[in-house]
Amino acid sequence: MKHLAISFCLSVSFCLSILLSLCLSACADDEVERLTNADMPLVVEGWIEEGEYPVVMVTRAVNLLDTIGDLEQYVEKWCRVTISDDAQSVILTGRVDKNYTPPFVYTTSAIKGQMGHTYHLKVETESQTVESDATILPYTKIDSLRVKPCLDTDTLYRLVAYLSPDQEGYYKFFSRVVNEETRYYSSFLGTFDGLTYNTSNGIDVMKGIHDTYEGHFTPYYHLGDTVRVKLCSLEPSLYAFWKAYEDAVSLSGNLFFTSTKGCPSNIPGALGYWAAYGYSARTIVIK
Amino acid sequence: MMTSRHGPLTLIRKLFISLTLSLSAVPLLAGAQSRDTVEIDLQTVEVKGNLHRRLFKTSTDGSTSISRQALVALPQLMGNVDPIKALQALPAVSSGGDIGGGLYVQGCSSWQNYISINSVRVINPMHMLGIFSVFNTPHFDSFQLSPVPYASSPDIVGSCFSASNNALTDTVISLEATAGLIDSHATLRLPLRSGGSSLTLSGRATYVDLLFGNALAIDHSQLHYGFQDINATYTSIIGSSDYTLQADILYSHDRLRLEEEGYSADGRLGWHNLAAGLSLANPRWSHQLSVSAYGNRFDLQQGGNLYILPSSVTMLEEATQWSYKEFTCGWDGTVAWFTPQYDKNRYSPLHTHSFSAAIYGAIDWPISSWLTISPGLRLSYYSSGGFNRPYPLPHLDLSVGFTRWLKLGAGYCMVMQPTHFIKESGAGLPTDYIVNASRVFKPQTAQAFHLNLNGVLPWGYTFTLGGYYRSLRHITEYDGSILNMVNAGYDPLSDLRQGNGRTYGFTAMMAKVEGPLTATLSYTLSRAEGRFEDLNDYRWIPLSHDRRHDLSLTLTWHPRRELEIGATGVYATGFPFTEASMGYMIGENLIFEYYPHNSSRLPAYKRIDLGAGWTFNSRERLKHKVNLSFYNLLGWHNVLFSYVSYSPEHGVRHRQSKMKLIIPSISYTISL
Repeated sequence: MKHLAISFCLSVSFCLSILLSLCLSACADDEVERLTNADMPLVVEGWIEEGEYPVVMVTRAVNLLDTIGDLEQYVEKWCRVTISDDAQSVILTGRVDKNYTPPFVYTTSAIKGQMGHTYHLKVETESQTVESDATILPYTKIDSLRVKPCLDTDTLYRLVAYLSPDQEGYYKFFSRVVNEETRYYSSFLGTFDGLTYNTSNGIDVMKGIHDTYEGHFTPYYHLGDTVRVKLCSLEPSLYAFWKAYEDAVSLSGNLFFTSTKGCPSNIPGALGYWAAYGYSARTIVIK
Repeated sequence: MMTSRHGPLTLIRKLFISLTLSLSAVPLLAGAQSRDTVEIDLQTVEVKGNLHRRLFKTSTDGSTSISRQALVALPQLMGNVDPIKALQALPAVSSGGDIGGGLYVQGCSSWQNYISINSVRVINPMHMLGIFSVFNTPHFDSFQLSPVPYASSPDIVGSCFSASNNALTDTVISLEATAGLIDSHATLRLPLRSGGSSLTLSGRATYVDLLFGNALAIDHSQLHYGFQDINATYTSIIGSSDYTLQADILYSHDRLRLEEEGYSADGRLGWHNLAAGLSLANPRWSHQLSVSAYGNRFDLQQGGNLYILPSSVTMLEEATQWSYKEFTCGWDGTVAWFTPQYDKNRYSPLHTHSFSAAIYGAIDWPISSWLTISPGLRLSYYSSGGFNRPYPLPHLDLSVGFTRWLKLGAGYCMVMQPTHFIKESGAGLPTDYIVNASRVFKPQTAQAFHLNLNGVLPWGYTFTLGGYYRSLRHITEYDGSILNMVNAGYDPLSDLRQGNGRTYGFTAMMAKVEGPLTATLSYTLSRAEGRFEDLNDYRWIPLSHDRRHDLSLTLTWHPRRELEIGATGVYATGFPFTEASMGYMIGENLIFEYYPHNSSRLPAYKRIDLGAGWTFNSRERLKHKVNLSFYNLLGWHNVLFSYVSYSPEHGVRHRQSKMKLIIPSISYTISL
């Protein structure tokens, strides 16, 4: 009985001392501080292409702790958006454009992109001003587009592009199925560098993946589709953005392969990107 | 080192033998005294003892063993009782969850363990998705887990787990075959030479595709999955000597096929595992030669593009050990060949190899009747690609026996592991693989401290209390993306982040080991964290397998000889994950920014399993047993993955992939 009492006392004191020391450290608050609506940054998606007018969309990021309704409520409709180059400075006009989601863009017909020019973007809101520069690089020509059947199916077709890229260059495909879509979308896995390109195999140009797609998404084309393909030359900072974007779009919501990195913006103080594209385009009918 | 104790059964045997001898001596005495018949009335003596039905047997150094007989009383999952899943009921062994399971001991990852069958290394002990291990339970006699390596253990920073067969040979043929809903397995034990040698053969195969092929679908993807494993163990006693020859082989194979019509995608994934060894031993020394191999296959055909990303590792090992009284020494050596994952269509493989060797010595030194000190030293040497380094690794264990019912164990060791694990998936898929340590990614090292108090209480209860602390250096975390494989010059090692870690915890376990109802209740309060270069500004973050609280209850009840009922209950803090903090639209896709790596927690994990087995003809040689089990009996929703999605119809939604099924299993076993 005496031995049991000693054992019991030793056990209790041993237990308490270890538990106390570990509780002091284990109970430390390692929960991250949650963001509030006031912390939500500005989001800018903007581009100017050679020979085309600029398009800029400005929104606010969405706090995921909020009850989120229509994304249109996050559009910044009263910004001052200015684009300037060496020759001129133009203030863009905001307008509704249902070709885009959300359907509000800033644009102008007073300035067009020219190869070799650097365009400075400035976005001013009540509380914040963000700025960025982008330069239109020389484009790379799409030598040809070929239609090839997908393996194991007779209803889907691949589109393969053959080109002569600069091995040190960075590129991005945008595609639009003219008979279905009203704008260009980022081609699924369509960002690459010149070293990746295989001269004999070419490179697949897949459909643009987007959340507003109706039905179950397929990256391949159907018979009769009219497809317009745009190949854009990228600056290195924009290549990094689109590469991370492809990971995010492809792998978010994937149980087995996760991607938990954001997209590195080239606009200090904001999310998103400002791009200047030299591009070449081709149209093909899938038949 | 564990000292054997005389349990109640041994005491009963001694009394019985003494009594028998006494009784048999009486007629002789009677005969010596007189030739006339003498009648003597003997008093009836009844000797009673309590049978200990322990699920786990734990010693002061924290090592634990579990027998096959104890395992089979537990609830089954799809007709199997998995030893690694059973060990998750121990303190300091993390509950692994429903997929991506493995052995997480004292905060170390599953790839920081040394897993073996009869001391032959098994590189990857889990089948795909981590639901089952490769161990066919009826093939082995016992399973042992040591939370910290010994001086004689191969170089590893985590724990050592082994599945063992008795050195004694079988003398009768026995067969155990089980047919279940998802898979079937069988074990045959054959004596080959009377008392001289025996062969144990086991096999297991799934047919989930055959019966439930149409049910295996995720979204628009059709899955086909299957695995097989085979085991063979040959044991032979050489002549009339004490020499035992043992040969082992294990081969396991997993294959998964995924078809997605909309993407014109056909993915074929799989891996294979081989472990083979030959050993010769007598009570004083042992010598073993073994080969272990593990290979991955990841083939993806999409549209017209084909990606083939294989990887493999092969290890050839030799070990010799000699013991004399309390002293043990030996040496071991390993040559390993690695082929990290590469794009077979575009590049040539990068083959690397490494060599490691060690000598060690350890002694169990009884200072007094209540104090034993066990110092040891392991001198390891590692060489690969011009990187050569020795590692002196001291070990020290103390065992203090305060009383017959209370013992204290304490220990310290330094350990090393010359491999790193690239984890591209979060669920144990064949995109994960091993690389050797190098000048850039140095071998992992750790210093481990532990303290354990083991006690026996009245009325058939035992308890264990403990604490541990482990400091890890040169651990790695993969920070890349599987999609990088399409890039030129794809090098997954460029996304490997190196850093340090620390794990510490308090553990408690109480067990009722007597009577028809036995129970084990264990609790762990712990923390496992690391910090890595270029990740979270080098701040401490929880490791992927960190669980703050982990509570397990295991019950087994034998109300009668034919019936056994088992139940397990688990409640554990959810695993850390990286949560999305905000979303924004780019290119009409909602993409996200994230809180710091692993800074959020999934909801707590909880599960209750129940199983019952009825044995027919329990007293006959040919027995039939039917087992009915329910995994996740109450259908609790355990979150596997948390994410955010967007669609124009539903807007932004927080979604979770959940395991919410109640999985029944019914199996029929025939044993001879």
